[in-house]
Amino acid sequence: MILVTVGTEQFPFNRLMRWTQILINRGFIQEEIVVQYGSCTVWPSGVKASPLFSQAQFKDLVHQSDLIISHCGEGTLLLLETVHKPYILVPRSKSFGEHVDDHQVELATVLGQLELPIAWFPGDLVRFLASPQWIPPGTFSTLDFCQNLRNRFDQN
Amino acid sequence: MICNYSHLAFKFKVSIVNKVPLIELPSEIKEPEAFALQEILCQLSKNQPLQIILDFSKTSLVDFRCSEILLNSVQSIKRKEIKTICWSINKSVMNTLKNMKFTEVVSVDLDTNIDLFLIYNSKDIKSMVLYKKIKSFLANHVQNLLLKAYKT
Repeated sequence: MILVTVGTEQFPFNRLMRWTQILINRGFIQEEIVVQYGSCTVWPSGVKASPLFSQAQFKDLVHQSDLIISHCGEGTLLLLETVHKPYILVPRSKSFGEHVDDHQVELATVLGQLELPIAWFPGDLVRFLASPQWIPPGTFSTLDFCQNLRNRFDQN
Repeated sequence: MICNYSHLAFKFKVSIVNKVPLIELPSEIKEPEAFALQEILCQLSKNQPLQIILDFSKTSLVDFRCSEILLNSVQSIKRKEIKTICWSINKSVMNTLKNMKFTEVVSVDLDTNIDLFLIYNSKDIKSMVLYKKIKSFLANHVQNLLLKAYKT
């Protein structure tokens, strides 16, 4: 089972929903798929979909899934770091009204440098499906990671 | 499954999921790359997939001079009833492909076309993307000027 999750942000992440639909339409996803679509106004057809799951339900889904496609939210990332499942992160962008700022793009840029799978394009999702990577917990140290983010993006 | 298809000096990363191949195209497609792509499409078509996806996400330049090779490649797999679908084409490459009439023989999944420049707002990344964008714009602009001069 593939779990697609966009977190609980108040902003829709329709781009990821459309990409998921394209992956299904083009035959890249044939297995069961569960979509947590949050505030999205569109979501893929013919899938199990819900705007939200309770924390317990969500943890169960994460454990049942074989692969996870997630927005690049810090909360979800912290949860994914604790489970032994291959995952890929798709950053929300301010330009598309997907978030209030670009912190997910910044986060994804630095995580990408640490070899975590990031999807900037739908082709990246296909490459992940073809060869899913499992990221062992502790791949990055939180302190080093925060310093890296500060060095790179802090304007002050 | 991910495999590297090579032809001459060119390596193309091909991801195959549920028998559907996705070819990651290089940053610049000139005649040698177009010939290599033709060969790879020919190899992939032997497995009779229903469709082949061309992923343009890394491509910032398509040389107009390779239009004939690209058109022939796609038309030859079309004769085998294999569809060609294009993903993630940026604006300047799209203009070149339209001028080549390439977009008339392939399908384009428009929802996959995304301008990275819009995603990247951070200064350092923006300047890097801006540099690439200007480079590809100039290359395409010069190419279109040459094409106009050639036609007249």
